[in-house]
Amino acid sequence: MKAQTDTPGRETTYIGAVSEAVRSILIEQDEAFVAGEDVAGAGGVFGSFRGLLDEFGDRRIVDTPISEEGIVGLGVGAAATGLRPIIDIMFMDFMGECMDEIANQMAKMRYMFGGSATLPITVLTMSGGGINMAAQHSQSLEAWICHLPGLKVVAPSTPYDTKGLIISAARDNNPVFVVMNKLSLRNRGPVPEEPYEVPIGSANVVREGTDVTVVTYSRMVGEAEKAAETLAGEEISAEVIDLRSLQPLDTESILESVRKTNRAVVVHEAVRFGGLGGEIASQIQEHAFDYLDAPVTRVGAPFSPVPFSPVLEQAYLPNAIKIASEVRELFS
Amino acid sequence: MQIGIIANPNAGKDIRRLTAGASVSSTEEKVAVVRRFLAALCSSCCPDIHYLDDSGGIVRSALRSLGIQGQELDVQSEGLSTDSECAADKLRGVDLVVSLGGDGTNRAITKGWRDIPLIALSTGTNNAWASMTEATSAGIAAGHIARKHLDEQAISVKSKVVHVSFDDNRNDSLALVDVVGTHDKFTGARAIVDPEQYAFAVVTQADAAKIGMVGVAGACMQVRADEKRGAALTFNVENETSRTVRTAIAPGLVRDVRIVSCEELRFNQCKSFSGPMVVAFDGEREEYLAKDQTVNCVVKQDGPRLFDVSATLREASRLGLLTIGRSREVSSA
Amino acid sequence: MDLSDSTLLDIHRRMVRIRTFETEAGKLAEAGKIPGALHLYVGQEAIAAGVMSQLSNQDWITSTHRGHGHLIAKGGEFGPMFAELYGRATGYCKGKGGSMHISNMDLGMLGANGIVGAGPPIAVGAAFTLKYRESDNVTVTFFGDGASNEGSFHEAANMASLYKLPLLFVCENNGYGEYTPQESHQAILDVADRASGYGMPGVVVDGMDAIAVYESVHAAIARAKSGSGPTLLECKTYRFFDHVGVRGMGLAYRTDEELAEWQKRDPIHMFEARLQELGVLSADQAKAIHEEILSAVQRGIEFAESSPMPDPATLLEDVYA
Repeated sequence: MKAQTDTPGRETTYIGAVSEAVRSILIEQDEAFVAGEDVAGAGGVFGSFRGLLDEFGDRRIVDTPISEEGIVGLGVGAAATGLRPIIDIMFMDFMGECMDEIANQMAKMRYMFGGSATLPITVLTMSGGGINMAAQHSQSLEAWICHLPGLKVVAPSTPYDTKGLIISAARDNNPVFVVMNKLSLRNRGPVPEEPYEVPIGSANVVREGTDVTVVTYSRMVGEAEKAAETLAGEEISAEVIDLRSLQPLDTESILESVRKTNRAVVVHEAVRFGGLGGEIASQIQEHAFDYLDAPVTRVGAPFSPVPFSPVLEQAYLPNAIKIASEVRELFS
Repeated sequence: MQIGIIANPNAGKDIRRLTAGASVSSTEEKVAVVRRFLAALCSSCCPDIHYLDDSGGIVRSALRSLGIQGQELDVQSEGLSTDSECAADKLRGVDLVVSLGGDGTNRAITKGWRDIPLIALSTGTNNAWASMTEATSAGIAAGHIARKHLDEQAISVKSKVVHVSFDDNRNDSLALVDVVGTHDKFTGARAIVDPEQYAFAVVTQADAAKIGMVGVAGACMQVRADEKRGAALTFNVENETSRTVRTAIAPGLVRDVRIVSCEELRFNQCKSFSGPMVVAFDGEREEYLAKDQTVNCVVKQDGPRLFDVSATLREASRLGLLTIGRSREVSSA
Repeated sequence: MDLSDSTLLDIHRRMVRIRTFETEAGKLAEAGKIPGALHLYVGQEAIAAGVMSQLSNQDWITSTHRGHGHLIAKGGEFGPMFAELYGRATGYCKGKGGSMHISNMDLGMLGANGIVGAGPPIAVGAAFTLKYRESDNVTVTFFGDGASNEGSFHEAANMASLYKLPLLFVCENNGYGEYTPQESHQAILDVADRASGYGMPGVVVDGMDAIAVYESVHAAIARAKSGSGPTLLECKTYRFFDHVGVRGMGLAYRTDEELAEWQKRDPIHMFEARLQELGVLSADQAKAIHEEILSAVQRGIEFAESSPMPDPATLLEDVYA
């Protein structure tokens, strides 16, 4: 599915899209509120909630203590009892502080209760490296949450998708994690002023091609597009799929592309071992083995914590050069 | 020189923290109080210390932190008020006992050793009997008291006791400050917080400056701690209210109390009341009285010798006992 | 405090319902009829009854792994409860939760919980909803002495007090975190002491005395409804059965003498004795209530045993809304 923009020319940043989405939900849903560290007075450390306190007051924009387990528990309890919380976990790395409330409560409560509880929670969180924040503020831990039945996970790459996916997440009656990317915050792109949804569970073919499918998401979409541009000059036509939604996964869009190109590389910024790439590669081989002309390969971070030094960090992060290089291997 | 220590870990934890906003007295704070007392006491003398190894480990912790040896009393502490009672009984014969708790704790101690020589360190809820004292001062004073070189009459008060008996085979009981009958059906959370339920009271003191039943009585008359009389009150009889007083029935709780009668009670004069009701001692509901049962109250002056820390230190100063390294004669200049 | 006869009988009935259900459930577990682990509430009935007799279905509670008593006191029916323990389709959770996750949203019961200490943060959320909606209801979170060592309790206590939420922290201190005695798992005597660190009152309550619980809870609810925020009530109690099941795994972590001492203060026996003295409940009436409740429990068991197993086709239902 191709992204459509109905008001061409209007642009905003990735972070601006977050604010617009949250604001539109707060206007639309009386039961929605935002809770997290520094979200009210400070407007969010990334600026996601700037101005919302003035507009909506401290009943709906709630500063919390630095207590991630308490914050997520607040979301679970408030959602189960009828509100629609938007919970901000500043850095995804902090999930370690609240994993019980995520994994054992939020993800399972509905199932354990035989369907009697509904948990419309939106969790906003930031992932990714590239800004020298070192090992505990740079991780891409989406595999942790994609492994938990009961949760949905989306990871937008563009301002347009960010706004649309947050709105979809907040209108969904399930817990949805919106995993955003720190290095993308100032990226600009077309964003309509009116609220709109980007459906959860639907991938986006951002560049069409015929020789290889690059399956990726979040900031790596841009790197894959750059790699595709380079490869085009080498007579390799790469199709780039932006998954947008990681759980549920739009397997059909992936397979449709691979059946056409017969080759696939899965790319993510997360550590390669045990990452989502393994799951996606496995699904391609299960469902499209006969279409493959080469093994499905993966590009991801090495099996190391994210380093601090800018030199080491750049060596660590996947990028367009590494993606292009991996693609060339499929044709050698 | 023999000094006993009884600390009650349960004191200062009841519902009045909630209903009255009374101060919380944590176990750790109690350890600190006992530690201050011991540090001051042992700065000038080396008494034999006998202590109840209370269920909170209060005295044990304080002794250990100061490296002071003490002798543990042969009492199996169960976290109940009987711990303090048994400990006091075992301490009979020592020169002085220091207690840490409220009126309820001192009552339990008095049940164990009725005319015990006592310094009472209050944990600070609702204590009409003992006044608030800094433990450090009490420690210094205790050394002087135990040496017995001060005039006892000048530094202590012989306490009054309400002796309580029942007309069935129940054990006699006592209170240091007040016996109160209420129309509650249960002992429940123990503390008395609803003046609408008051039926009668017998008090050893009446003082408008104090809180609780002593303050209620004090709104009608004055009976000092050293006066040879008590007072008896009745409440809440339809159409018989003689006066309504507005007074502090607990810390933070000012209520209107409808008094039917308030009269002097001479020593050895017996006041009897019939059930059904719940009878509270020194602020805690404890006994049930059925419709046909009676409780008898008599005030006497045969309770603990309660030492006044301030008076003790002033007297010690007057006699030059607080001066070290020189003759006892102190210039009056 | 002046309690009506009907309130007293209501508290009594809630306690007897818990005792009877748990005793029979324990027998069924030991007979191998109920799969999985049961953490039984026998001995602690005064707490659930003293609290729940003052709550409505619009008041929320979060529970613990020892949660049957809370649900029964909140109005849970024996049939769907036993059906859940049996893993039947007619259970409160359609057989997907079992003993450790038994819940009923309509009754305001946000679930037993297999994770020690997980409830308080969720209760903060439920209390947040009540405050957000300016409702006059309260939330109660039950947890144990063991859970008071979890960070989740401390985060929740801080947040509830910060936001002045209508929340009661009811600690059921039964002296043991699983099999470890309190003195070996925390350096304090009273969990109530922890309240002062969060700017709320902490009170020690006799958890074997239903009226002591009732009066304390009554005051804490009044405080919550006045907008003054949460209260920590530490109810000292004891579990008459083992951590798991009735006799458990036979671990020698406590003595028979200790158990016998606590059983002398059986919350139901003490309460019935007083109700008799007050003329509220005769021995014959008490016996009749026990019998009536036992037969209701037996009907509940029959309901469960005659209920269908879940259809394997429902395996993937309710993962998502």
